Amino acid sequence: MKKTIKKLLALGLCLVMSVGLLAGCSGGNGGNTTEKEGSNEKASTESGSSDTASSDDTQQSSADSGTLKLAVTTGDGSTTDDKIPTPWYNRIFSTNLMFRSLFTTDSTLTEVNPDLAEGYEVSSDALTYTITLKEGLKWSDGEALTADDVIFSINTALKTATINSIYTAAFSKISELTADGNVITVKLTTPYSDIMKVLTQFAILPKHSLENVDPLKLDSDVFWQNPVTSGMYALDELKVGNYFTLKLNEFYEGTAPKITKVINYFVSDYITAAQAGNTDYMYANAADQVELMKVLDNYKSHEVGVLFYKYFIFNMKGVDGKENEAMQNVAVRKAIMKAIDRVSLSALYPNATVLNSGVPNNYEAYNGFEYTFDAEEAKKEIIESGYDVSRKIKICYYNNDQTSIDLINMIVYYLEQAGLTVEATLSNDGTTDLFTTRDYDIGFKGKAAFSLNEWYTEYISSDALFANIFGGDTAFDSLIDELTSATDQNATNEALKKLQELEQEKAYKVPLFTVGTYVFTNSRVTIPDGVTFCNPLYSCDINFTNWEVK
Amino acid sequence: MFKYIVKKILMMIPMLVLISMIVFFGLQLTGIDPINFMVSPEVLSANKDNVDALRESLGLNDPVIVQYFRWLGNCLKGDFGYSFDGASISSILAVRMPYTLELAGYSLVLSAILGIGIGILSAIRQNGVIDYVGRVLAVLGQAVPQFLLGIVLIQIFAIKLGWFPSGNRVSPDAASPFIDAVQHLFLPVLTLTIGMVAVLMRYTRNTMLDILNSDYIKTARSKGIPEWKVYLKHGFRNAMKPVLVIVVFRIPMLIGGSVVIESVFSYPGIGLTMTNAIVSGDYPVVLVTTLIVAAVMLVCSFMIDVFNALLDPRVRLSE
Repeated sequence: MKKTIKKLLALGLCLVMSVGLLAGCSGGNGGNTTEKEGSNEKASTESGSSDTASSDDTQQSSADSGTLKLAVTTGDGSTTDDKIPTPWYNRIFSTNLMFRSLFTTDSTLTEVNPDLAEGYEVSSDALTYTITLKEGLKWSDGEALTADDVIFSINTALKTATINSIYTAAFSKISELTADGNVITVKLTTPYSDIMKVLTQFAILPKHSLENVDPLKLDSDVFWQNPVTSGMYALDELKVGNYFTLKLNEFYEGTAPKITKVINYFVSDYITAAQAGNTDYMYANAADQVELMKVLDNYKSHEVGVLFYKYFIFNMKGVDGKENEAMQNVAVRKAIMKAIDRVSLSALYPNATVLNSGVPNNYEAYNGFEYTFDAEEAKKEIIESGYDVSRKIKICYYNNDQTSIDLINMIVYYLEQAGLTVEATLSNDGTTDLFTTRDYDIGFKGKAAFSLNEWYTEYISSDALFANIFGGDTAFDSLIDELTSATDQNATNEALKKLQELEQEKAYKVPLFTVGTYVFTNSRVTIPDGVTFCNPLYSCDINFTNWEVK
Repeated sequence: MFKYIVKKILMMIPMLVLISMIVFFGLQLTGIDPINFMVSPEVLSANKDNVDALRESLGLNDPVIVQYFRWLGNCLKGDFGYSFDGASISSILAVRMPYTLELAGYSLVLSAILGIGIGILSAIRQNGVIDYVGRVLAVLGQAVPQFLLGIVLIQIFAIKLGWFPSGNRVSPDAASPFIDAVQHLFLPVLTLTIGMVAVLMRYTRNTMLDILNSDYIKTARSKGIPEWKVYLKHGFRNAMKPVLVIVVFRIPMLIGGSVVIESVFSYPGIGLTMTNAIVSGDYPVVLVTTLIVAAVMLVCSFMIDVFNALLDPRVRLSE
């Protein structure tokens, strides 16, 4: 009897393991090629089987073009996998499909075209903007989208913590915000040239869902687990830690997109997601990532014109009184720049362009100044400056991709050739670490700027962050005001030229180069002719309505 | 025996408190300011007042000792608090812990069956084919880091062959939840299992060899007891005690080890939550998850002590 039981147990165990293996080997997500058909068929037959909400089948047009797959990364700690990321920080593809702004823009982020608003007028003194909202707009829950939502969103943006600074910089200039029916009047204290461009990015959120939420904790509210949306899509299902799916928003007043379902996978890194065919769209600017993506023949690359700065900031003095005398000598800072061959460094990045100020060399406003590379001269200048070369220069950087690590190693090499002793440390961030410990001399940073203005507003003396590094120097303030209030190109260029001269004289932060950014789309996605992608962290019109998935 | 168990349980309390203090104050010493992670550097500049208000509302301006005792008091009331992104830690644990237990559970069972099985066979057929293959695999299994093995398995089975998904635990369009679960669990379970099989296999083999060379086994053989009975009844049964200790001690290591594996496979368990919490400076979550791993370790240690005491009265007497 015992023997029989033992045999049965052994047989059962073998069976369980075999079934597990067979089940594991059968089907699956497959490679990119095999997955195309399977996933599309499944998507079209199961789109209504959500745990949380049923899909609206009536919205599915006859031109159902399947399911688009996107990846949302949680690997850098900026996004969690238990809710939809707020569109008030970065505009990512997934949230661009869910949330709209008053206006939309083109790939240069400069045009202003209607979206939730049908148009606007601006007064001759550039202080009053009158925006007319479209009639009959609705949220995905059927509630009316009104001017109250716009006013609520702008006012709340000024009280919240996790928000892109381009919004707070612009909205802090608003002195009066009123609505009369569907007409919104925005009055500014001083002209602000980027105000309309900013409104092309600022997502309007529903007042009726969020008015009782503490603005400081808005981005972590439960709203983001089942948000009410205004865009082409609404949330269908959120599976914490795994994915969220989007279905067509039945209350969207525009033309319904051909793609009826979007799956957004939470992933640790984009490359693995792309290699496994789990995303039809991704972007990269690190050379190693771009190279890896270019190897995948089922992805098409699109070069994007982005002001993505790679630059140094020198840690000198905080408004808190903390000092770092070693870096306060401008001759030392300029000699350090002379010791680095930025042209060679730029070869590490795809399509990088060497910079000499915040204004790229091919812009009309560029003042023509150049930082030259001369190791011997740099060595001489460092000695002449009186700098103690036995003192260790500490560099901190926060990008942990291989390209950044290689770049830092090369910078260390260049500085050592100039007779300096250098130590580079990978940190959590390249800015706050500088002044929280005042233990680093140089920070290496990256910045995907919305516009040139964003680069220069970092110099403003009241900037809580950079004031702790540059000491709250007020020299830039009036010029920054001049730049942000410039309403024509000539005035803008004039202000930019003055700012460049000042920044080159002070050398507080020194740009190395801008790096090229690439968007990659899976070949199973058909993108309409004429579409140009913009900075992937912002939103622009990419004619998504006519995208198709094979 | 009752006294012994109560004593062991009571000893766990100060140890947990001590661990919580080490982790809490250790995190404070790192100089991590969670605000720097909750709010981007660029945003810090424009919203200083709002950021200050956020810091105050989170109690981060209070002295560290006050923060610690407030946190400990809440934990004792069953309130683990909230992560810095607003989610209740209890609800995070409720969602994530089952995923991790599932991963660790399957890995434990599979590695125990394979490790002990191959270990016994290697000992019985010492210097045979199974023994040589087993020893080579054991060395490889222990030498190759788990994260590297995970990446290699993803590259081969998920990307090249496309047999399994590269990450996550659930697919949105799964036809069968069972098959979906097997597909998602296969690679992470295999990764955890391979490392553990190597340890168990070597330990079982060595223990079995010691026992098979002992006098009472020779006596059993001289009595004419069938060889399989000698292996199973006399050899295996006695070899199991130290092997089981290793198996039980592997439980917290599996939960701890899942930190790396869950990150590699984007597996939404407690390990990935812990990694993301560390990256984003979310130390309420780091504290609780670390304490859970420590508590599991202590409970396993307690179980081994009790288990040993039950089997060996000398242990109780010496205590």
